[in-house]
Amino acid sequence: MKKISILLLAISFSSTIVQAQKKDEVKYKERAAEIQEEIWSSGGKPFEVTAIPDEYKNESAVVIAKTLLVTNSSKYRYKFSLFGGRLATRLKYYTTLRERVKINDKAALEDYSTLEYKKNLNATASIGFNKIVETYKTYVGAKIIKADGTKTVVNVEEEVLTKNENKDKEGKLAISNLQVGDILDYYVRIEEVTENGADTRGPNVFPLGGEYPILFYNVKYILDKKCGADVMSMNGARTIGETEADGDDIILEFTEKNLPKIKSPIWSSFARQMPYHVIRYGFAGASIMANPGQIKRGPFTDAYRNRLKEYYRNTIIYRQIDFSPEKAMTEYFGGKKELKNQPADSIVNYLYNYFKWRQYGDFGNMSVDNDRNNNALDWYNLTVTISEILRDYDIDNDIGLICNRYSGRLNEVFGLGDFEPFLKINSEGKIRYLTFTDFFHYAGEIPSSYQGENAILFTREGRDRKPKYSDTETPIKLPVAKSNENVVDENINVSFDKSNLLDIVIDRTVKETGAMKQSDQKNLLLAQDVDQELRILLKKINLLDAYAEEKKSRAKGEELKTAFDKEREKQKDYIKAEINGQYDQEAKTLTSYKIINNGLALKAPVLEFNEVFTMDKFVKKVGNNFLFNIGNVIGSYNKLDEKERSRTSDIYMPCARTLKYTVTINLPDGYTAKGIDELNKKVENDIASLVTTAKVEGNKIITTVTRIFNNNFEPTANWDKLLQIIDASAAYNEMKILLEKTK
Amino acid sequence: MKYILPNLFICFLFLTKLCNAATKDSNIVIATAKDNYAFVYNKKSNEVKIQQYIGTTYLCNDFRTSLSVVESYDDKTSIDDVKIYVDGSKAKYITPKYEYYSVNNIFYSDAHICYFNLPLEKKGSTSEVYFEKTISDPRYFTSIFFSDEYKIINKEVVITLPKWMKIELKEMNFAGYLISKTSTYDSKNDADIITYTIKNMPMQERESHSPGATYTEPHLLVLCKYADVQEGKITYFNTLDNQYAWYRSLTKDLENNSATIKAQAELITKDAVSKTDKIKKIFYWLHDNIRYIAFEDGIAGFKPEKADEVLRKKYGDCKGMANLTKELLKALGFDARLCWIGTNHIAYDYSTPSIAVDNHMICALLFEGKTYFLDATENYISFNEYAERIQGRQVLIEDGDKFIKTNVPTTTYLQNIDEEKSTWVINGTNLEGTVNRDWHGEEKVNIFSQLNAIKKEKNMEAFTKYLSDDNKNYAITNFTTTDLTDYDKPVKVSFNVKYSNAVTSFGNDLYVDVDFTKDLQSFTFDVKERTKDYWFYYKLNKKIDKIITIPDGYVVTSMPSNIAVKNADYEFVATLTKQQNKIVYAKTIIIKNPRLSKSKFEQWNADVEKLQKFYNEQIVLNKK
Repeated sequence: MKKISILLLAISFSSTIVQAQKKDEVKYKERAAEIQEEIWSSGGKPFEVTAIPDEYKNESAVVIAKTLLVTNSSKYRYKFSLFGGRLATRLKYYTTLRERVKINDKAALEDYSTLEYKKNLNATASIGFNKIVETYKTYVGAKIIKADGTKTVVNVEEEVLTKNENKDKEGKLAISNLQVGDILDYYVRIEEVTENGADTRGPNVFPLGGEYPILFYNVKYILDKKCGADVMSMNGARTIGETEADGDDIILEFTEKNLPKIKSPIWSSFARQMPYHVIRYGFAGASIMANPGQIKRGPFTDAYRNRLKEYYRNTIIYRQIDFSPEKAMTEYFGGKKELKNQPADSIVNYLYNYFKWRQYGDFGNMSVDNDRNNNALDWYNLTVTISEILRDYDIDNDIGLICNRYSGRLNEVFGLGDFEPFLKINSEGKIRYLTFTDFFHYAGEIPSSYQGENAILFTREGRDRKPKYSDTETPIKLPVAKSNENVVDENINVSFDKSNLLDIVIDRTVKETGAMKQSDQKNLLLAQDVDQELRILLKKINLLDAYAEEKKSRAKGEELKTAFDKEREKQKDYIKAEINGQYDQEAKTLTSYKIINNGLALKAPVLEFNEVFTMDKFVKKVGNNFLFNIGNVIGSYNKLDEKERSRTSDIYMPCARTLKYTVTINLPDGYTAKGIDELNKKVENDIASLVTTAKVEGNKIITTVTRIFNNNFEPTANWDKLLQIIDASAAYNEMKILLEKTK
Repeated sequence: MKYILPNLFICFLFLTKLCNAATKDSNIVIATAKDNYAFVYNKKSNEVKIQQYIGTTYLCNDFRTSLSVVESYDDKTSIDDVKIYVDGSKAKYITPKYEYYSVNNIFYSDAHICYFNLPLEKKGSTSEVYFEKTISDPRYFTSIFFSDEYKIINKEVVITLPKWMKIELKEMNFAGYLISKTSTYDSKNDADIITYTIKNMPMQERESHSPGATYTEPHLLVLCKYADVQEGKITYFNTLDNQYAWYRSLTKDLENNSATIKAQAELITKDAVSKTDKIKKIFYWLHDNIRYIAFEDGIAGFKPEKADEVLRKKYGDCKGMANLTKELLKALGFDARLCWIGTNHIAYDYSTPSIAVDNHMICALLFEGKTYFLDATENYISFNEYAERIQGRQVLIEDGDKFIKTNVPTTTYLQNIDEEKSTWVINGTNLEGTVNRDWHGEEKVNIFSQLNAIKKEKNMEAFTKYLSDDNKNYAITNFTTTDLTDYDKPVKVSFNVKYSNAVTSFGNDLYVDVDFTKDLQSFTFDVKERTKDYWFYYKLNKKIDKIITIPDGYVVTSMPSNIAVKNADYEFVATLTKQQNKIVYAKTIIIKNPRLSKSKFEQWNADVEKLQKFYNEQIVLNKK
């Protein structure tokens, strides 16, 4: 009997669910029809245009009109429950993207031929008799305008559902009847309803340009008066318009016409060169600057600076600083007394290495590959933690805030994440800055992305645990490393394979300093070796030895050793990739390689490695003689094509730098070299230079190549000067000498 | 029908990574695996189902790790139960996820996966996974593969075959593996128990340009013929007639709107003069106007969409496109028919009736005493030319309630010409010349495919980049092409070139590098690493004819020695001759057999070395 009752209940329950689903589907269709009617009857003249200006006729596609409309609302609803009523705030967010595109080729047809979307998500939660509404619905529509003016509305019911659960549906739609030459007019409307509280919407960034030219572009936010918004317009973008509508809604709007495609020349900084708008909004409770009913225009450098200040202050007040490293530091220096007598640099350096080691992570899950070399450090916490520990040892320091060269400037901060914190050490030592961009800058080294940038310093007042940061922060500019501080210095020894003079053996030793080494450190160094070097710097026991010490961890240590050994076998592939990147060709064979110095220690900061390999595309036989492409032994330089030679924007180079190569060519027995004099070149201007020399010493040819870029930034006007050096370098790459058989 | 678009690369003569096996380490092995199948008859529904039980024990060899366990299912296969054990204990904390699986190049299918992450807690530990699955229709039970992405120490495949169920098991690619078979009779259930025991099965290797898994992996091809059950005989694919009858049942009642189709066919061919012109107009119109979008959803994976629907939508899968091709041609009075075909990805033919035999549909045209095949998904191929993937393949052509079994013609390398003719003069250290280049057959398809995948405004830039092999010293001017919307004719280009620094001058000598592209220069095989044959996408026929005028006052003092490699699979020929004041360079690279077997890799490498030697030498001109 019980079984039957349960069965009946189950049937009745499932039929209720089916009915509810059907009801939802009917409601969805009704709403979809309303939206379609609303959208197709709006848009105005920009969405009636069919003609494309002649200048864009050869474009893959042209966006005739693109609009984004965001609206929101907030309403109180009284909700009943068994335990009484409550007032709930129901927030609605409607976002409508509409785009009208002329499809001119098959590449664009492919781009626009399908739509994928989350159709429906109902995350409404019921706790007891309380229900918290959270729904997300997407409505799509499209119509096609043929060249003869015929219009067809796409049947969106041809969609397929890739997820089809009761409360979670995802859809895909292949746009039917779309051909090259057509105009596609489509929209995506997202309607979100939530009673889960306000969140921050955005920041939404609107670059003034795109993959295709845009004839008309309008973005409009109609925001409830209980909502606030932060906005900012950068790099020449006109200010976003602000009006108030009936009912006190806030309207933010910008319109642009005839936006060209975005171009991305080498050595650019998008955030500083491309015009764009950014908008962020939300109801009370959202993490924005504006109060409800307000529009605040960025930048917000001062406001976020103050928030960070408060964050650091609270971190200290509420004792969230991890002072535990002091114990390890005391042991490292041989006791408290010895520690007190240490110079500031030693303590700073120790703490910096200690926290890097700790954040580099353990290998408990046997994840031993060097992907972790690209991990980020927790810079917000590290800054204040190291700052406070240093204070315990009377090492004065300030917390600094900076924006890297590839984000907005310091006076253009829109969000907290735009700031990158660092430490400035004010002691008499050599270490002036601690930064936290990666694991491969040593104490005192400034990342190239910070160099030349303005920074704010917080000066902490008082020594107690209730600090105050001074109200007037000191602006500083971080120094820019000179070209002789970012150096690649290669010593290349070339010999010819006696059995086959077409093959050369290259014995290459590379030394890298400053900003020239981190990329190779990340790619070439094994995680085990990075961990071990940090352990050496901290006088910590080797990781595998530590595992072996304890009986209970011994077996795991043996597993870890196997994992490390397997990973070490892959290092040759990392080296091969480095050679391939340097020469644009694969080594025929890799004979040996060695990381001579990993460049992680302050006292030995040079990354040094050696590779011995054979290449088979440098030498050509010419009669009895051989032609040797000596200019390519230093690696391939980029040669610019005609399109790349003209430039209208400033040049953000990675850093000032020096690239030095000393090449020794061991001539094969029975051959002399011709064409050596041609290898002596000097091209120099006030921002860069290329100097090459060559001489013969016995059966050796010694060449040197020195390429210097003096600055990390050049105005557009200097592009021609850079071109001189780029061209001369590419020309040197093609230099050949003749190995002539002696009679 | 799972149809995979050909993945062409514009410069595959320059491919160098020919040993890129996705070799996994040996940290995880499958210690034991069971794969059991039992045929079950449901009298009530009069259906035969196959119950599958999969049990896999993974062993951690070296160090603790985890692996992704993925089991697929679809409309015809359900996963009924999953059990997971870690180190002997039931792992309730692992929750399998069930999701739609997005198959490459297929817009929508019924493919789903059940997946989860399975830990192996330490060296020597094991984790076990058990799946219970049901295949609801024997037609869809087509194969049992023995290998896995991990090495298998011991595996047992057991098929419980009641006497009322007639199947045939074809043992495929067993050679070289430790596979044994036993058969016993279970009198209680009146069933044969067929057991395959597999020992030390190596992991599956994934290598580029390798044959499909049905050519290489040990497996059973399962042919479900019929069930002789209480309610009578249920026939599946006892014969090819049965298979065709099933296909026919899915296609014969397609209600195509003939008026719409006819109007469209007449519109497309309004300017066509001859019948052949009409056929071509239809075929090329399909290339330009119907997008390939694949649907593999349940029966929709086998049943074509109505022609007028494909026409309205302007997209379709191979079945829908084949049906539209047929209907457009039929509307013009041609005898056009649907065809079923397995591309060369599949090792089987119709001698083994099964839905695993084919994966594609095309259209056959019986025209003036000859049968032509039109594959609307093979964009830009000319009428009466065939892509390598269907050449020589068996094909079923509909013929009312019967069928015609024949083969798609096989063409030789002569179909796929890439020919360059050029004349050059030496000006200082530059070479200046006029070049004409043509592409035919699948080489033409390759060029068109690449051009149409690139944005219009970048088309010519990309084309010239390709022609110069991205050499920035190779400056192209006066670039002209034939009509790039005419797919019927070869693509032809002509242009002038100034190739800076192509000549090196020392003293009285000039050194000239005669071959800029150096086809196949690094195309060698790592014979130790590569485990599978290498299949070219198609047969190659590249020719270069180059004439260089010797500057006044210069004589040729040295040239690379000619080479001629000719065998049944390929030819590499490069010759340099002096004719009065000209140097004539002629090179042909021909791949006659696009399936290069592993046994020939060493010979291939030796022959490529001859090419390399030729490329590594330059012409020497001496001033008299």
